[in-house]
Amino acid sequence: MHIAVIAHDGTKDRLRGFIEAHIEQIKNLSITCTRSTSKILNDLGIEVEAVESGPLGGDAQIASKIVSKEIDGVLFLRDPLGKHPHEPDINMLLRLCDVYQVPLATNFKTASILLNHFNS
Amino acid sequence: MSKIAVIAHDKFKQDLLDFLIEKKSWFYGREIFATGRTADFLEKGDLNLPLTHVKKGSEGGYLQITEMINTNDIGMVLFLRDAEIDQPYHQDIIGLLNACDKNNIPVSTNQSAAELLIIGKIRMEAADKVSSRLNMD
Repeated sequence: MHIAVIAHDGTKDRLRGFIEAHIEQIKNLSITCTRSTSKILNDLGIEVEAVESGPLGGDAQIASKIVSKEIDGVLFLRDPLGKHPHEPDINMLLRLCDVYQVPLATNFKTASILLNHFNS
Repeated sequence: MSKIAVIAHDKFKQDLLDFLIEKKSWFYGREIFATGRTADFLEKGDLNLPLTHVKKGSEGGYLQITEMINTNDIGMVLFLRDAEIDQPYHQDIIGLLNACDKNNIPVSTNQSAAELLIIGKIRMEAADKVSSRLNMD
């Protein structure tokens, strides 16, 4: 199973704790992350494929993988209070998850429930 | 578990009805809020779960649900969104999703996520029951 993990700057600190708490579920998955999110997972000993950071097109790269059906689930820890230069890319990614019926979590609570079902 | 909001765009109204019927035993006894036309559709179907109607999406239904999320009245949102058409109240939808994420409320925007959310809740509740039995003296 291949999932995408993306966290905005406002949620990156919480992501670290979240990954630590769910490390057993996460370590066997194949994962693609945007650039700076990938560093958090790498720090915790998890190998991931990194695409560009969000503002440089990383969300768009992951969206493209959704279209080509390479992604089975998306954990997108959004910061709904932040301002993002790549807002159109973010909306595109959310939209394509729904078009292709890819399980999508946009907050930690949803992510922790969905993660129970993401198996290698 | 507090109240649950259900919303489906036209393309997915039947899917939502089928989904709720299939998982009816879990929804039984929980308060369900639905936007106007979704509520009408579900009531015409063979669901027989009590529903509270809010306004339809185009008349402020999303804003009502958003308000309830922000006051911690809603504990889960099941939203089957048709992302292939442009909705005139797009900003209301974004506002609702932002409120879910700001308040860290389980939310699905498609049926795949909705299935996993409900199965996840069923498993978590079962695990809680088992652990409370094991902890009994």
